Amino acid sequence: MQNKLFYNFLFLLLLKHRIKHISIFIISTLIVFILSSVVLLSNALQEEINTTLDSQADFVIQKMRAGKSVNTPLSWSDEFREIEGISQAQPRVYGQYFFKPNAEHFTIVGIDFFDEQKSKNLQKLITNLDMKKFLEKPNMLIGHGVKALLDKYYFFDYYVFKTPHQKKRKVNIYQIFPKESSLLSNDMIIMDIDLAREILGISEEQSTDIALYNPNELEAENIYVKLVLKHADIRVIQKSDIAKAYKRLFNYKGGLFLILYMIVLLTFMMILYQRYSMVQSSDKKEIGILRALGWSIKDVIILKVTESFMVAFGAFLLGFILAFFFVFVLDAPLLSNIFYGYANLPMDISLHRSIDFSLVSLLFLFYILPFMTAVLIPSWKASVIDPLEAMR
Amino acid sequence: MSKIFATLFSVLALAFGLTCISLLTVNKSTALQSFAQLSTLPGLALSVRYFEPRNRFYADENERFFIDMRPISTMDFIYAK
Amino acid sequence: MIFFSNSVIVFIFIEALLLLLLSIAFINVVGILKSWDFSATSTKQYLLEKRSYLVLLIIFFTLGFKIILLPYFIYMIDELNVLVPGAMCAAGVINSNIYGVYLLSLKVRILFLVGLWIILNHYDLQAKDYPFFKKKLWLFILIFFLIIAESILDIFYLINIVTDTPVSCCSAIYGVSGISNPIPFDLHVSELLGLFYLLYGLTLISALYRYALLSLFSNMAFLYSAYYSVVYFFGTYVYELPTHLCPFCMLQAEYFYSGYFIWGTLFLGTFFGISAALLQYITGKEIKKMYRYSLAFNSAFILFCSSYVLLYYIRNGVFL
Repeated sequence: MQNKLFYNFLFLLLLKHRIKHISIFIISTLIVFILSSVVLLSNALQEEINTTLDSQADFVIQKMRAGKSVNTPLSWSDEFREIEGISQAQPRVYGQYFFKPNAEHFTIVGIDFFDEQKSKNLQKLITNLDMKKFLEKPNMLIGHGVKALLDKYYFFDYYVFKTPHQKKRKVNIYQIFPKESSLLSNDMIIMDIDLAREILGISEEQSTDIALYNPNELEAENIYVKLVLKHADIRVIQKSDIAKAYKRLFNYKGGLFLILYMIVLLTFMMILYQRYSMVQSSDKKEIGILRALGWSIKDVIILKVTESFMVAFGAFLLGFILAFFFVFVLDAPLLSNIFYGYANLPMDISLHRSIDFSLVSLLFLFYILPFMTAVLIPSWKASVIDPLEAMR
Repeated sequence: MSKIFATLFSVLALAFGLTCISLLTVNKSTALQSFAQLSTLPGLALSVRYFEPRNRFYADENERFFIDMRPISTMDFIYAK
Repeated sequence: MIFFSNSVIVFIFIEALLLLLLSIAFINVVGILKSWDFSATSTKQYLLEKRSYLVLLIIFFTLGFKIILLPYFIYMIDELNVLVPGAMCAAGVINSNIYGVYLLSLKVRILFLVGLWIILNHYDLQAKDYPFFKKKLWLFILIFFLIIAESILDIFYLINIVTDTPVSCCSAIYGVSGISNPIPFDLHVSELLGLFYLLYGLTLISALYRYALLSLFSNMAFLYSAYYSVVYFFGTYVYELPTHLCPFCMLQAEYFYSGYFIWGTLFLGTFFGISAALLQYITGKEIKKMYRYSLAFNSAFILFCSSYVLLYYIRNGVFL
């Protein structure tokens, strides 16, 4: 059965019944398109952010008071450096800066540029950066979102920060971070650590929190216990918690969508069932002729199922390609707001193309299987029509 | 007739294959990674207001550690008696 | 939070759909079995034959998808390890509650029966007078009840996956605890390995000379010994770490998904070996193809596993 003639006949049938199939094809394409766009977008963001997990600190220590994290004394970092297995303890200074004119928040991060590792990273990020010139005056590096906002208020070269002590601090804009890093750097301002302390109001003996590094992953749980027992008002965050949080964020948004989409699919199945259950008299005659020509019921069933599979598969391919174009070429306008939000600085990033096996299998299973499930019984119903009765 | 469909399907399949290839052969930029190394902060720059803390990825997972285990100090106290 | 995971949602949705289809088939099967008489020429028999087409179509379709769904299930479990504290791979997630292990073993058994059904169906359709028609419908009823049990276990398992208390990771579950030997019959690894290759030889002989009974028992024993050999010996070469004992970690991307190949070929090889004997019992005919497939897949499995050891030896000059 499965030869060239069979397919020739199948395509002829498809063409003949194009009016019947075209509406199903369009709806299917739309369904696949929306489903794939959301899944591709969420997956692309997740993949991208997961690549940064290796750069995160193994432990982050925060001091807690009254349920809020407060500034950590620098003496803690010396204390933790003593713990065996910890290679590096780095006090970090960062915080929110409220931009009054637009009621938006920037994130100011203070970096110790005399740290060799940090300056190396910076050189990698921004090519031909002159460190000497950068450190001469109060300078800062800003993200794209910050730049766009400051431009709006005519701060092209500098911005005047207000410290908590009512002092004014003019900081020059040195350079902008590359757009590829926008997912993290969009609302960030990076400056020298002492300058950041002054603007954020963190004293010399304190830091926002402490990042600890532990080269051996197997020791993580032991070190965790040691850290927790050190102080009563301590909060220890492990790297795995960050991975979990990322997973949860995207699972939550994607999952909510999928749960709602299940209803769409069930409705779609009902429509399919209805559509393919309608056997017109011309169809009946067609099947009757086929049966009279010596086709068995099994052959007719195969023909009918393949016919609907072709429609489903064609729609799947077309929908997926459209979604790909929409997400990675057009950068998913409108839809991306579900994931980026629109409360703070507008985000403008171009997504990196990424895909994995689970994604394609998920799309395939979630669409093709319901489709085929819905058409099985109608195909059978059409195939077992009594040939004598049909020809009459 | 099957030729038209065959070409149509092969065009679709080709486009699908090309998208897959283009998806697989992408070289990941290191800008995001180097930035993460620089700032070492995990929070995404998604739109956040003051009521959504920027470092909301820091959840306190302290509690889960001591669910089945008594704090050591309590046990010490009992044995000291 | 497990239920927000995309793959879990898709998995449950698909399981529910397939169960719905299978229930429709089941109702029809009961009707057919009640009054099936192939030699009769009544209208009722004619209608039943029509309905049998639907039943076979649905069963073939759903069972086919069941085969795809097992690797997908394992993949899903593997993916969940990020959300379960303490779990490094699927082993921790599977063992995070008591249902996991039973569920997985039930799934593998169902897959085995499904394979058997599909082959039986193939040979039944080839013959003109459907000689095994009733047998395969009874087999379907067995599969159907097992699938219902599986669906209930699925729900219980997924509901009870803990996300707040730490579970033990694979090295804690499969590792040598020091008190007792985890390998059955208190075998040493070298003894186990000897047994493993010996049993392979036995399956080889049974496949070459087509001894049905020998094939049945040797493949069962081979499956048993192969599982322990992979976990306690070959796995360590896959991971290149003598203390890493885990049947699941090799399914991850770090090891190039080689686990899917290892467990897949083992399953297929022993499946064809065992089903060759079972089918000979059911159909009364000797099916040469089965033995050939069994031979091919078992050999592929053993070559693939052994090549890990050999390559390691060639590269490093020592065994682990």
